[in-house]
Amino acid sequence: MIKLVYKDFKLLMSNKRDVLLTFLLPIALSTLFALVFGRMGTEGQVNMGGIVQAIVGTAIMMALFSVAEIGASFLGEKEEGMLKKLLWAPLPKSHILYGKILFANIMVGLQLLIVFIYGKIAFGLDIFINVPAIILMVTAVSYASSGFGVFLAAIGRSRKQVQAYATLIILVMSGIGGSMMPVNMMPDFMQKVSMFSVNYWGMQGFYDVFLRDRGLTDHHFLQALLVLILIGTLLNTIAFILFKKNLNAIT
Amino acid sequence: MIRAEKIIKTYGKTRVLNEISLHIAEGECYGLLGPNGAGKTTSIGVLSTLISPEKGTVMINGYDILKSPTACKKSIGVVSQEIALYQELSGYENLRFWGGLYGIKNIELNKRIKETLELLGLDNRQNDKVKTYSGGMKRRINIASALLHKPKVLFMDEPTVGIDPQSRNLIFEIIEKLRKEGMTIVYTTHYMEEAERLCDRIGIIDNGEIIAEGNLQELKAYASESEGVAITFTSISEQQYQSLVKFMKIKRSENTIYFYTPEVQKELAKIILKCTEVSLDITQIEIIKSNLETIFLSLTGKKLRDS
Repeated sequence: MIKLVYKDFKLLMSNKRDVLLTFLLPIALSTLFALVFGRMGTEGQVNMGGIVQAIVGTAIMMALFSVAEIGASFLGEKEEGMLKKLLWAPLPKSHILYGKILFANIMVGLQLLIVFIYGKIAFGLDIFINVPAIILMVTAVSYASSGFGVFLAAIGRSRKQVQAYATLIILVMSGIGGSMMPVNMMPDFMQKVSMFSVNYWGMQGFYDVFLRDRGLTDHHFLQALLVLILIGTLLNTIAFILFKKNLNAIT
Repeated sequence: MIRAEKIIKTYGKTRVLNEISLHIAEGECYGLLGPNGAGKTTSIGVLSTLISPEKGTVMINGYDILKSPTACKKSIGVVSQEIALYQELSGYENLRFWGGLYGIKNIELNKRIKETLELLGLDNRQNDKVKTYSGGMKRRINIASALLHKPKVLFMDEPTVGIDPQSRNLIFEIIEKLRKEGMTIVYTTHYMEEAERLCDRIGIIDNGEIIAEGNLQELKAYASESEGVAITFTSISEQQYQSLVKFMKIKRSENTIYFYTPEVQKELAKIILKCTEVSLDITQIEIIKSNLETIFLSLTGKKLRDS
C-alpha cells in the first residue's frame, strides 16, 4: 500500500500543473482573501477572525479540489487499464482503494499544514495555540475530505465527468459551508444547509481552536471533530461498497 | 503448466466462454486465434485470475486460481492490450513501481530492470518520461513491466496492436528469446501470421468455443479443404451456381466461388473450362494456399479480421 501512495506522490510531483494547483494556488488564494477579510470591520487593526476565515476557508476548499482530482485520477487509471494491471499484481484488492484514501489523507494534511505555516509567516496565525487540537482537526478534515474524493470516484463514470461535477459541487459546498464568507453573515436557512458540508464543520473546528480558545475538552470542538469523522466514515464506506461492486463488474 | 477444464463464463444472457478446456505444457507457446469478440480476452482474463469463471477449474503452475490466487499471480505475467503505464513517470520509475508490487527487493529490482531494459532495447531512454516514447517503445515497456518478477507463464493479449512493423519485429524477437529460455507463453491475436511465426500450438476460438487445436500441420489436416482457387465473376445465376455444385466442392461468397481442391495446378484448367461452359464471365482468379486464414475461413465460414 505504501508503494501505491509513493507512486501517487511521485506522479503528483512530476506534474508541474498539479504541484501549482495543490500547493501554490491555496497560498495565493489565501493571501488574496486574507488581505480582504483581514481588514474588514477594523480601522487600521488586523482582524484575526478575517485572517482565520481566509486561511482556513481557502485551505479546506482547495483540499476538496485536490481530493476530487485524486478521485478523478482513480477513474483515469481505470480507463487506461491501470486498475486491471493492479488487479493482476499479488496484492489484496482492497489495498488499491485504501492506497488512494491514504494518499488523499496525506495530501490534504500536507496541504493544510503548508497553508497554515504560510499563514503563520505571512499573517501571524497562531498555529502553536493548541497543537494537539490542530493536529486532530487537520486529521479529521483530511479524513472527511478523502471520503469525499473517493466517493466522487465511486459514483463517477469517467474522469472527465468527475472533474466537471466536482467543480460545481465544491464551489456550492464552499459557498454555503463558509469557505468564501462567514456563515454567520448568511440567512438562517443557509446556515442550516451549510451544516451538510465538510467546510462548515472544518471551519467551526478551526474557529474553536484559533479564535474561541476551545480545545480537546470542549464539546463544540468535539462535536465538529465527531461530525467530520462521521462524514468521512459514511463517504468512505459507500465508496468502498461501490468500489467492490465496480470490481465485480470487471471480474 | 496450464490446465483449464470446462470453463464457462456468461455476461448477462451471453455465454462468452462455453466449456473451454486448455492444456498447455511447460515451455510451450500457445496461440489463441480468433476474431474480435470470439472470447480471447475473456479466456486470458480467466486464466490470469482477473475474471472468475462460473464453472470449471483452472490450474496454473500447480495453483488453483480460485483457491490460491496470490500464489498464482506471483507466478504469471500479463501483457494487456492497453498500454497501462504512468505517462508522467519515466520508463525506469514505471518499472520500479510495477516490480515493487511483486515484492522484489531494491538491489535485485534494479538489476532486473537493467537486464529487462537491455533485452527490450530501451536502456538508453529509461530516464525519459513515458509520454515522450513512441507507440512501439510504450508497448515494449508494457511488456517489460510483466517480466520483472520472472514469471513462469506469460499471457500476452494482442501485444502488437497499433505499432509499427519495426517494433512488431522487435517484439517477435523478444518473444522468441523468451521461448528459448523456456517460458510458457499464451498469445492471443487475430493476425494469423503472428500465430504462425510464434506459436508451437494454436487454438482457434470462435463464439466462446475452441473449434480446432493443434500445430499448423495438424490444423491443416483439420481443414484439408482449405486449399483451392477463388474465382470472382461479374455475376452468378442460381442455375450457373447449381451446375458448379455438381462439378466440385465449392463455397460461394457473393460473386466469388471457392473451389476446394488439394491439387490446384492440375485442376485449374478444368475449373476455368467448366466456368466457361456455364457462361460465367471471370474477372479475377486467386490461388488459395493453406494458412491459418484459410483454415479459419474453412472452419468457421468467417474471415479473421473482417468479422
